[in-house]
Amino acid sequence: MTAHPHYSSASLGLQPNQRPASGVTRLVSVEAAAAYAHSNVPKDTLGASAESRITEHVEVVVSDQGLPLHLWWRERGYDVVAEPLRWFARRRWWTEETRAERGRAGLVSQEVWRIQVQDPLTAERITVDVGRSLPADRWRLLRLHENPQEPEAVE
Amino acid sequence: MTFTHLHVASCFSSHYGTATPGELAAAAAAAGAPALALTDRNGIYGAVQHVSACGDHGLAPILGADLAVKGHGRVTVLAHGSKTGYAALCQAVSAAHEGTSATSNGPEPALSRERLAQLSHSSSSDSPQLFILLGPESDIGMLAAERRYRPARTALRQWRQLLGPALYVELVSHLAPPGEELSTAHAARMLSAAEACRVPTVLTNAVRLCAADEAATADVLDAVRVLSSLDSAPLQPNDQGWLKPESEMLRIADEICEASTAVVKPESILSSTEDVATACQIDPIQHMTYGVPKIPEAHVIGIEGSADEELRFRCGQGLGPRLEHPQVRQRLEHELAIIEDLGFSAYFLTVAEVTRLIQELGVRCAARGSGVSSLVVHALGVSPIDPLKHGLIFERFLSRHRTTLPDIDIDVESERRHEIYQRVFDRFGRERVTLMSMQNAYRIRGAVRDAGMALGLPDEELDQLAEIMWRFPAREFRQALEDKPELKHLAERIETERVSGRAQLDLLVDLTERLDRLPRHISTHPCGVILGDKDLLSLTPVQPSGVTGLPMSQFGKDDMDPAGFIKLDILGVRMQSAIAHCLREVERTTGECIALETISFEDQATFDLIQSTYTLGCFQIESPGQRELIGKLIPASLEDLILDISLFRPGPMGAGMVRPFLERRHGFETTRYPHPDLVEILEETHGVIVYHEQVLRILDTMTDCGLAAADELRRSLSQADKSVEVESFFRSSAAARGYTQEVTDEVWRQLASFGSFGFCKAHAAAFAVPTYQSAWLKTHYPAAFMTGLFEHDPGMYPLRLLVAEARRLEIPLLQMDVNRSTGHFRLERTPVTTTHSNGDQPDFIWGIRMALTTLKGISEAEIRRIENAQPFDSLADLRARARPRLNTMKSMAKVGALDSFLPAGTGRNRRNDLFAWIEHTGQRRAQQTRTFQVAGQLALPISDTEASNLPAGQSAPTDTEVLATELDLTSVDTTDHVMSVHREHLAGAGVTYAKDLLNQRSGATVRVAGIRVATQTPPMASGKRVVFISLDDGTGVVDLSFFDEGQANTGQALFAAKMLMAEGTIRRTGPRAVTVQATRAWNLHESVS
Repeated sequence: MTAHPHYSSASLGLQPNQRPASGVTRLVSVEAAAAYAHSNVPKDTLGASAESRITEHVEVVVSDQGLPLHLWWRERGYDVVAEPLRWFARRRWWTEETRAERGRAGLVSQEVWRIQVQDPLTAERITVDVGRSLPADRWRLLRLHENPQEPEAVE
Repeated sequence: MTFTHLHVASCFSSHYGTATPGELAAAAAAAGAPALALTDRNGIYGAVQHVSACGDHGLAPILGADLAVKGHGRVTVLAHGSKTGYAALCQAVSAAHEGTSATSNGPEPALSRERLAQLSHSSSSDSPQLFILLGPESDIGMLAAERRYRPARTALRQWRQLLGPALYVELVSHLAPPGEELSTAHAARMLSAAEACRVPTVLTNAVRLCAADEAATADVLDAVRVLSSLDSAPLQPNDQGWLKPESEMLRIADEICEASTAVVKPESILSSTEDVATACQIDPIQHMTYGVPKIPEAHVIGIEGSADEELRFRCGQGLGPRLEHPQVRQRLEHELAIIEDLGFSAYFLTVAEVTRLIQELGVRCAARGSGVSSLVVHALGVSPIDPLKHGLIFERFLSRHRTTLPDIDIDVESERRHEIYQRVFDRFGRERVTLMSMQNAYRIRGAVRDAGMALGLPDEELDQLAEIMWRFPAREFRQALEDKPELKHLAERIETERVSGRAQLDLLVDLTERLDRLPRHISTHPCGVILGDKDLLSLTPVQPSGVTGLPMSQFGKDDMDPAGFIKLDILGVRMQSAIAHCLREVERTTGECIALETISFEDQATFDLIQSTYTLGCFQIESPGQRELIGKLIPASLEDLILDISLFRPGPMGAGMVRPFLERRHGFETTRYPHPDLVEILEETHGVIVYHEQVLRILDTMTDCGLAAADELRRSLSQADKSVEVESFFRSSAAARGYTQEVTDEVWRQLASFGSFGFCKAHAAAFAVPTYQSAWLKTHYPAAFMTGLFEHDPGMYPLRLLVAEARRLEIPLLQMDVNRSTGHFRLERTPVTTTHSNGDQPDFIWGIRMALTTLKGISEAEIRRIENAQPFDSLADLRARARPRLNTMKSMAKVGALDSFLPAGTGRNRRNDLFAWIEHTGQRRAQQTRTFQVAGQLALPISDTEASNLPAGQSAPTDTEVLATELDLTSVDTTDHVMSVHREHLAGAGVTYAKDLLNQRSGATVRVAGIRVATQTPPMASGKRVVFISLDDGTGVVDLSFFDEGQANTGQALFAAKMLMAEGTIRRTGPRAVTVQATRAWNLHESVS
């Protein structure tokens, strides 16, 4: 059974037909699409940190439990020296990705670790956020913290 | 340490959860969980599925709901594992829905905290009936998120005071970014609050996904829930709300304890979680009476003694002298014995009582379904069909072997369905009755629209996209883009967009696929009424239905049988309403009462009409496919109609049963039987297995298994895993009974290919009665019958096609007239206009007066005022007494409903003048103070001076303008057919009309044109899609079939164009059956311009 079409005098072809021929898919105009894309420039989705943001490929060595142990960055190795903190940060996947088929991993969020690392040569400690991208399982350096916040103290 | 998920939303949490209860149970079992809760938002819609899935996977089921508490946010409510616990849960859910509305604009479901506390308290046992978990969405959860520590603790103490041992704090971390809602810190703050207030805690994951990759689907659902795009909707923080395995949950417990200032060991949280899980395990049979039939108590319908004896007594009364016939007596005893054994006597009496209520209301009703197979049902007056006469088998309906509950369906007039429901509620008591609900799931068009909304695509573009989507599973969208010719254009656009770097449409395809089959919203089932005993409302939650004032169960059709609910289908059938209107109109105009129940089923004139295939409007046999089948089959008896209806089903059509049957019926192929024993069984269908009843008899005859077991075997035939067993049983038993290998081979081949596809003859027999009745009325009372059809539009076609059919039947169509039209279509004596009428001819024929209801914009109140004040002697009189709005006056003038005020003979010529006058003077008059007539004073019967003194100036509307106005204001072309406008052009294009198609030779090439009135894609034996489109060209209906090539050449116009021109070849398939096999079709407007 089909939905009953609504009949109107348009069926008679009397009025000049201003509409596009019935059934032709009219997609958004190029300008509209461009405006849409412009309005959807990814905002800062990884937190409102004022720290410098970079995304640079790094290597992370993890333990069996998935905890980061070592960081390789610009051909130098660093040890993780404090208890790392992890979370999952949202991605605006509908502006960043071209496909969202069932089963695609890592679409909606990215695993982020905040780790404190020590330069074995200088003994300098820095706090960095590294993100893990699925499905390729690649790590990127997201942030360097000059003055890392203390973890939240719960009353 | 084990871990049990206590807070889990399935897809029955509409626009929230993404996984089915079955998927969640499978995942939990695979991860080694001992138990699993289902706690959907606002209800336990998935409870029956959950219980049965847990049973399949060896999990202990836990049931609960995620409910809003007025002024205190959302909490998780779990039923204690007991009968009273489950009852309290049902009542809590029902309480949350009190005062809500079935439409979406009512208040959100919520219950008061006092009510919740009251339900959770137990009078008898130590344990509370309900456990209340306060999680991140509760008031204390929200206060903790805002770091308002002190108010959170104050609030928590209040909760504890009210709920005592029923109360737990629910810790959830979705590992959101530090400090945000659902972060580990958020959970840690709640843990600290719980410790400070000495409230025990449990750990959950507030699950809404089965696996993390479903999160994008949940994002879309979040956006759709608030009718927004992804850009502006409040979305979940990330993808971590999935059914995590034990190891991940233990790690989260560690992290929460680590982050909290309170000194708490993760083990203590986990062990109290397991304690709650253990206390809440549901034993489905003990606690929910799962699978135990629930029937109204006999005393409710006034039976003091045994229901069995009462049933026997009433059947005896109903059958009367027929009982002396040994065959009848034997059948009755057989049925009664089974009914008594199963304890269903009270159920049959209940159905009989419902039927009596319906008849008492004077509503037309007819039984349908396999219940028609029962002599008891017939004897009780529920069904007019005598099962013995049609060879119907009781075991197809009910037997000791059958594990399903009996199912009797009653068709009633659609107009009066709600009245009947109300009566049933009153009769049995509101505690024993509830309507059934149904979940409406996403299909392709809805999925495209909602996925598109989430992506922020403009509405009009989505309208156009949805228009070209035609019935393919949404999850196969991408595949369809490759396969379907009507989507070819769209596929090309997606490709172009992709190349230019835009992915919106690609995402649209993926998201549409993700939404497929997810429940969208719940609604009242069109016919199911659940009847139970006094405890019914402790076994199912209810919420307001779409039927005013009546509740509906949260459970649906598929839940009834496993849970042991007995439902009665009281289905509103518009054809019954149409017949009722037809009969009333005949009685109103002539005083004749037609007793439709007593007409002969052997009326030649009726079968002549059926055989002519002009069956538009006849029940069951008006579709293009049915008209073609009738043209081939040429039904000549009620048995033939039963056959026709049985063959025209997806099963038989798809299995290719129709052709061999027709070949044999018309003698093109000789009928042979595999074995003489089967002649009697298969004779009625020329040796082809058509009916389930035949399958049962064959199995019984050849294996001696008994009819009850035969029905079990028949059901197993369609299940691939079981049919092997059936085959080996059949072969060995048949061999033991002495049938040869050849016979067994041949019979099995037929059983395997047709047996599971056949149709229940009882269903078809029940349908055949209204089919015949409607054809009989169309034959003998065509105008009255068409009036009934206009009034209720019961079939698959638009009203304007029925109007065209009336025009073809030369029934006068009387235009809307404010002095004669009412809120209903009416039969009206119309003078015969022929000049040479002799004495034999009546001087009038019956015409149909169009109803005021078709006028666009007219209100029910205006119609009532016009009806009450008719007739009017002038425009002024109409204005004064019926007080129509100016717009209604203008519309009525335009369609000619005010022509009768114009001076005799001018009519239509002055219509435009009248319209201009009303438009010109309307506003001024509306502002004048009305002078009301003094009661008792009659308006003087003077002629309408206003209308006869109209300023002239406008020219009369042309025929085409009149038609255009009718279509715009009533959607129906009353004065002439729309296609008449195109006649000249179509003649130039060499178009053949429907009435002339039968004279064309098979194979001839023709051009046809018309308005689309039906589009169908029935299942075919080949598995390939064939599109059937019917066009109304003013002389009848042209039926077109489009195979692959025709579809490819037509493209988007296939489903989108409203008026089509097509080319193709004539296919004659039977004496009266002709279709056009289209090679291509295009939008008629494109060929006009």
